Amino acid sequence: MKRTKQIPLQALEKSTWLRWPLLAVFALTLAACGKEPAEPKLLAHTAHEVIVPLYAALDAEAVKQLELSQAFCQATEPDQQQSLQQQLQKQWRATMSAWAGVQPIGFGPLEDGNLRWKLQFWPDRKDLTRKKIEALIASDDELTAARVASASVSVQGLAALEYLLFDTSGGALEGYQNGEQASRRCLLLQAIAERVQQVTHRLLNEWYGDINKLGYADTYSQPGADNALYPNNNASIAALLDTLVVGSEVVKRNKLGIPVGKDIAHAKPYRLEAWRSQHSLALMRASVATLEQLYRGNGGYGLQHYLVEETDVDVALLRDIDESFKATNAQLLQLNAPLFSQLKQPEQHSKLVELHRRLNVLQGNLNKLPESLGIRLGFNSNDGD
Amino acid sequence: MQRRKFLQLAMAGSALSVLPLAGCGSKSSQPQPLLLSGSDNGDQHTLCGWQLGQGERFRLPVEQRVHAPLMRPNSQQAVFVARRPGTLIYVVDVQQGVIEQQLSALPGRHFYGHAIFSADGRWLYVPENAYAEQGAGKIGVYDARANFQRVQEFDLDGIGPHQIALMPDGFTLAIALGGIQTHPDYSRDKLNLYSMQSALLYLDTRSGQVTGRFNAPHQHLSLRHLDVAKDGTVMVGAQFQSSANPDEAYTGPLVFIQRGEQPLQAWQASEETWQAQQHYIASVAMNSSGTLAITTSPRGGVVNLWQVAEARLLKQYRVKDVAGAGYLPANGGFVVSNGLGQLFKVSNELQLLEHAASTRWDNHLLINV
Repeated sequence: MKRTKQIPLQALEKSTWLRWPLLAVFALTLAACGKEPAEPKLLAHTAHEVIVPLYAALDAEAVKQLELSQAFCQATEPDQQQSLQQQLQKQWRATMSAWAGVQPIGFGPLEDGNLRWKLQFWPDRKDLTRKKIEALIASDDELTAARVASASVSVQGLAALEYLLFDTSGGALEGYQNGEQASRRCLLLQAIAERVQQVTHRLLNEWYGDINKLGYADTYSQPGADNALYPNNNASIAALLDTLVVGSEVVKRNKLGIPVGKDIAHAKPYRLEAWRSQHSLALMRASVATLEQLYRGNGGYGLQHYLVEETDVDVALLRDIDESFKATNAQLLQLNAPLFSQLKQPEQHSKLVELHRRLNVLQGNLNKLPESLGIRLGFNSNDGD
Repeated sequence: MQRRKFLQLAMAGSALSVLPLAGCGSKSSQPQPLLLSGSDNGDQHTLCGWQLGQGERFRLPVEQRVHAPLMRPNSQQAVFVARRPGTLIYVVDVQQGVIEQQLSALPGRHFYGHAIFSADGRWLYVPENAYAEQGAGKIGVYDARANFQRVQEFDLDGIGPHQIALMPDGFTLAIALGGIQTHPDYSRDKLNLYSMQSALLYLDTRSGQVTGRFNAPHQHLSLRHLDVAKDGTVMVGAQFQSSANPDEAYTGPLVFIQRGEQPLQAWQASEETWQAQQHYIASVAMNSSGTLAITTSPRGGVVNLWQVAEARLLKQYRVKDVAGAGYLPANGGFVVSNGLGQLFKVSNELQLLEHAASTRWDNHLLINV
């Protein structure tokens, strides 16, 4: 074994001393059982092969978004500006879709320091985004990524960029070409894009970890009594189940149920996610796709395999989950974008009501998983005393 | 990949250095503190005693889920009170690890999971729901010297007394009046959200009279948990209870302080800080000097460390399903427990102390030093 410089000698000796006997016991146990334990396989695959690639994709899109925002702001010819703004709009949609793929994952560094809100301020019922962004542009503040980072969450993140790229007044090309505030508008656009990329980069790094710090993917997939977040396999599996249960509920209720309303007269287009860019349908698809990947394992050993092979969960429930994913996807394909302009059309509205029904079935089925596995999602958090 | 794995092992090894609380050198006879908490193990409710550094001392299966434990002063007796709509109080000898006695509520009454002893350990004051009398809040008085016989009760003119504490004067009770009416026939449903009125009450145990009332500053804020510092400062944690439109959800303060005759004073923190609590504070605890405090929120999965004088947030830590909280003087820090069976030390950093397998630490934690 070759020693690397970065590791303190003490830690090395300690770990060797502590770990080798354990490993030996572990190896013996394996040999005796003749079978690789399923939980580590499930957790490692879920973290490294499903979740980390989603964060990597988000960061890659955020990098492209930052580069295009800089190119757009450096352009001087109107034709070039127009073309670059369109490219940037397209890139924003790609970044936002990648975000919607990460959004349902309910555990990890995203839950720290309000990062979820910093990446997407939504719902924004009072259109704070417009008010705060226009106030910041009109101020004397220096418009840097650091300033954005310290500002209200409503001027950070992808919803703020959406306003600056798609709003009929706040995102209009003339606003970047003429008038006193044109250059400040572009400075802010770049600063927000930079801040978004800083956050996505940080999230990716924290999942990966580095030489000094264990990545969250490993923390998640290596539970144990000395693991402050996941003391046992069930705690890690519970986080995954919680993501499926809550993630499907958020899609059903926030992304769909609230805008669709109790009937067509009460449909609320402005409550759609990303109504300004009219990108709502794609975001719903991306979030459902992530839930399905987390369930099916994205081509590897996922929760579905684990449930079939290692647990006595009723096969009828597993079949119901399988079918409700398929039914939801089929209905998502029946819909036409943009929802924003079609929400109040009877035919489209009834298709959305049907989608809501199917998501409700999916959510209900996923919600049966914890109990059938004997795993409780939250104890004190459900207490109410 | 090889190298990566190797590093993980190295780091996992160093993370194993769980620090004993009293310091390694002290192999003296000084006993480690005993932690008391209700705990659920599967579907089994238990009363648990856990000695830091040494693990489980006792785990006693019981019929009703308990909420908060407390020690009887100058004794080895602890009581664990059933949470609503429970009707039992368990008296435990913590040395022997046995249930000595089981008290039952009067007919038409149930407990709220909290109680407090008089300073001499004689009287046990227990918040009760007289649900057969429109949910009138009462404080039952039990004589510990006479087999915990119920000898008296105090009327509160209010609904839902929850946590209760003894003021430094030795005769005044501070009572968090939650304001929410429930009835066992309707499970734990809240029956009066449109008329609820929560308050912090003071009651003189000599006269049985309510001597002070400080109403919650918002109609749907339910004051539930409190702690008292040596100087008489009372810290109160609230829950926001509303079936109203979530679009109009409350994002204001959930922690208050009350001193002397002054009204409840809200702690100042950003909207984001309060939102992270998800409308719910489970436990509040102050250190003995009353300079530092923590609050736990299992729904938000956060522990906040506060500086009391300026009501300033010092740190916010993420701890899943965290609820129980107490102060450990020898340790210079707070200890919190969670539904995953973990115990953490909370100071200027968060440190995992211990993990109890197959244990869900319930709501409140008592540290018996």
